[in-house]
Order: sequence, then C-alpha cells, then structure tokens
Amino acid sequence: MTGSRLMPPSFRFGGTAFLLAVFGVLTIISSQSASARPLYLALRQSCWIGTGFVVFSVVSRIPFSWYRRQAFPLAVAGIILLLLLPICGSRINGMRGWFRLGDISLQPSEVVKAIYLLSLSSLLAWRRRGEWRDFGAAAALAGMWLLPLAIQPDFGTSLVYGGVFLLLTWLAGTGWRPLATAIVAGGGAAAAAILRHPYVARRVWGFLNPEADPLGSGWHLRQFEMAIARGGFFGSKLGGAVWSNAYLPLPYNDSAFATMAETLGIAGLLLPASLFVLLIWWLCSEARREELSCGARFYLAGCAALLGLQALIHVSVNAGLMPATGLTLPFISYGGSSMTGCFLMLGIAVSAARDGGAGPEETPEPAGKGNSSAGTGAAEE
Amino acid sequence: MILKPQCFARRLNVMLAVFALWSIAVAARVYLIAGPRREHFIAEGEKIARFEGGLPALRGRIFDRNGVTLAWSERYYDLVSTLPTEYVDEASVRSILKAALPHLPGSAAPPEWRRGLDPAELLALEGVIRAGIAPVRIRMREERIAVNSPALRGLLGRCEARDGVLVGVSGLEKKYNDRLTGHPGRFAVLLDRWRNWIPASWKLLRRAVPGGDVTVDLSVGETETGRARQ
Repeated sequence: MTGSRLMPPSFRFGGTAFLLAVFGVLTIISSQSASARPLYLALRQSCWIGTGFVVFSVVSRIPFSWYRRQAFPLAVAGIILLLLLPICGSRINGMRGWFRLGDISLQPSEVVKAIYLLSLSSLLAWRRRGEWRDFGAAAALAGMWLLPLAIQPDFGTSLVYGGVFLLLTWLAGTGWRPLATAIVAGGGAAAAAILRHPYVARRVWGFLNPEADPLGSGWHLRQFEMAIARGGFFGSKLGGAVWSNAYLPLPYNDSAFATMAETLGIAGLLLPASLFVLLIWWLCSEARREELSCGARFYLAGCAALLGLQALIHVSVNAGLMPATGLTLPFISYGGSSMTGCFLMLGIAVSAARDGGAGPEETPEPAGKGNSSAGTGAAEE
Repeated sequence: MILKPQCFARRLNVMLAVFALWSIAVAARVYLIAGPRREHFIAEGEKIARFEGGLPALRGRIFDRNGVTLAWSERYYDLVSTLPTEYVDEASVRSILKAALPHLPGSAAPPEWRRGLDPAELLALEGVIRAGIAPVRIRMREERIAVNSPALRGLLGRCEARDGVLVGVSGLEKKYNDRLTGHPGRFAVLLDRWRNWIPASWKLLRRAVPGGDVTVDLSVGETETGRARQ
C-alpha cells in the first residue's frame, strides 16, 4: 500500500496496462506467425494502443465530479447506442454487435463499459429509501444495459455486465436476499437463453461432455487444451505457436490466453498474470481510501471487479473450466473497441483516485457509526 | 446507499479472495494440462493433425568408363488439378491461376495446368494453394534423362514410375536397379483446419539417401563409332 503511494495512479494504472498491451501485441504476432501478413494485426493493435493511451490521458485529466454529473446523460447515450445495434448494426460471428465504419468496426458494448460502471456506481452512491428500493433501481438500470446485449445476442459480455452488477451492489452493502433474488432471476434468463439459442445449449453440452462429440460441440475445448499442452512449462517461443495458428478459434482475440500459454508456457504466463493481479490490487487499494466519495470508491471497485471477472472468465473458458463464450482478455486481446474501452475505464479510474473526494450529495458514514441494517450497509435517510 | 467503510473494505477483501481462489483453480487446471497430462493432449492433437509423407530419393546416375554421364534424374514440379476434369470450372480456375501466373497460356487446361514450374512460379502459386481457392496442387515428378544416343539408350533401358519411385524395367537400369535406387526419407508435418501444411511444424524423420552411381564398361565415343560403321 505504502509503495503504491510512491507512484501516482496514472503511472501505476497506465504503466501496468501498457505492459499488458505489449504482451497482447506479442500474442497477436505469435498467433499470426504462419499467415501471409504476420505483422498486420499487430501493427493495427499498436495503433489501438496508441489511441487508447490518448483516450486514457485525456479522460484522466477531467475531474471526477464532471463524470458524476454527466453519468446519467452518458448512460442514456450508451444505452441508445446499444439499442441501435439491432437496427443498423453489422452481424459478425453470429452477433449483431458492431457498427461498421468502412474498414473499422466499432463494438459499442466494449467501449461503453466505463459508462456502465459510472452510471451504476453513481446510482449506488445516491441516498435512497431502503435496501430493496435501492437494489430495484440498480437492477432496473443494469437491466436497461443488459437487454440490448441479450438481443444481439452477446452472452459473454452480458455475463460480465451481470456479474459486475451483482458484485458492485454487494460491495455497496446490499444484503443477501436481494442478491439471491437477482441470481435466481439471472439463472432463469440463462435457462431461457439456452432454450432460445440451441448453439448455447450445444456449447454447454460440449463443455460437460467434450468426448461425446470431439469434432463438433467439444471441438473448441479440445483445441484450447492442445494449445496449452504444446506450450508446456517454457512455451514454444515466438513464431512457434503451431496450434494457435492452425486450430484455435480467433487465436488473437477470444483465445488469447491459450495462444499466450502455447507461446510463453506456464513460466512465461506468470508475468502477465502478475500484472493483472497488480492492477486489480491497486484499483482495490484506491477503492479502500476513505477520503474518497462513495461514487469514486464504487467506481474503482467496479473497475477491479470488471477487469478481474472478465479476465477470469476468459482464462477459465480457455482452460476448459467454463463453456466456450466469446470474451476478450482485457488489454491483451486484439481489437480497437476493447482496447479503447479498457483505457477509457482506467482513465476515469485515475480521475476517481485523484480527485474523487466526497461531493455535497454524498458523505461517507464515519466508521463505527453503523447503519441499522446489520451487515448489509443498506441505505437510510 | 450509504457506504459503511468497514463493511465495504471487508467485502472488497472477500471479492479479492474469491478472485484468488478462482485464479488458483485456473492455475491448477493449466498446470494439469501443460504438466502431467501434456503428452496425452499432444498425442491427441497429433491424431487430428499429423501427416507423414515420403521424401523420394533421387535415382543414381550411370557413367561410362570415361566419366561421361549416360543417364541421370531430374525433378520437375507440375501444377495439376485435384478434381476430375468434368468437375472443374475451367474458366474460373484459369482466371484465378492467371492472377498468380500471368504467363499461363490460354490453352492451359486440367488435369495438368502447367508442367515444369520454375521457382518464381512456385512462389507465386503459394498463396493460391494455401488459400484453397482453386482445386489445384503441385505435384513433384522425377524424370529419367539419357544421353542422346539411340544405341546407348537401348543398352541403358527404361524406367517406370511406380508409387512415385522410378524403377528400372529393362537394360542396365533394370540390371543395376538395386544400386541406383536410393532409400526414401520420411517427414511429419501438422495440417491446419483446411488440411494445409503448417510450415513451422515440419520435421524430418528420416533423411532420403540418394541412389548410388554406377560406372559401366561402355564408352559414348566407341558406341557411336560402332553404330556409324554399321
């Protein structure tokens, strides 16, 4: 903690993200080494990292109070952007989740993650009239974000948004009963998705019984395992990731972890894994600072929750611990939307950590002067 | 909601602990795959992707007693169709090939689109073959060349390609077949989803040993003189 104070948040967050992005570029080069243009995607990704850094530098300079004030107009704009996708979005990989602008595709669900966190943390920081009402308002807001994602359908991102909602409301002090209700409702929605989209059911079946249909529903899971196995302890070195080049689905994106494992091996994975741990730890350290406003602390904790959850789901899918779902590895996977969205999120986190002091509308309750809703920290007026 | 700092910090620690446990589970799984069960998964992968092929050994040369080469082998590479001619849309395949080989004659047709490709043409065709956009492949062919002397050719005899290997079927080629025939090599390569070779995975299993050279008690000059006298 003390050590982390020696460097400003912009340096810590930006530096860690940059190092992760460098690993991402190496992963992309490795995944494309057998293609006709091995550096094409890596060069594009380098441009996205540059764009992300510009976004990071700009948004981190804006005071957090401005974000607090603009949270809901921004949320409305973000939700409208997502709602426009079924009307004028482009379908890629069976999902209508992109806007096409010439040669460039924009995936709004990646870019607006920061706004989602901002709106949720701002809402949770407001004083309201009881646990269920507070939770209901947060659930309604999260539902407005999740619905357009489910329509696309983008179940991977929906899972992250839903998971972050549960974590953030729980961190904000919500009790177990509203959360249990939300989990049951989420389970029902997942069951409905499985019934409505047979490919989801096939993926779940393929995960449960990979040997039953090794060339069909179990295919992806087996390819992940084979790529990781080829990497062994010390990897197959840059340019030698044969399996990633030939068999992994989207090796530079949804399978980035398996590509890294094949290239770097277990030993080589320790460094990017440590960088992730460090970034999440630093975000949580900032979120613990009591001099910050509730909104800033929730936002910082939300960033840690989102990055941690997304990274863990990605690596779990790649390690065969979860059914296959298309989800990027933050800062590492190829994609301008993902990279820009992650840097945007961190830029606002820097702003929150630097000047997220308590505003007039919210005051952190002094320690020891507990809330009457024991153990929940629920709202009171 | 009003934040209770102690509750928030405790719950933040619980979240981190859950993430840590989750990470340990992932690390254990990755260790299992890349460590104790590594060989099993690699073997499984090779079952899907491994292809083994032969490397033909070049047939040995035949010399006369003065060291003049009487018969030797040359390798050529031809562009051939992978489909029976009746299934090939000749016009569209020709236009694809023309893009890679601008000098391809308009009369080029399956099953042999072009015989004797030069190195530049081989490189130009790499993209077409890799992308699988035309039903063509490159076939290696070994040809037996003999000295330009009808009398000697009769003595040297003839070779035939059997399973891609030249075998002497008459004359000296038959007599010295065992010595002239080399030992084919063996290679293994992994194939991608489209059954293309993955160059980085190519491994030599056994080196091809070229056939031995044979020197026979003949002389090009004497044979030709004898033929002229006759």
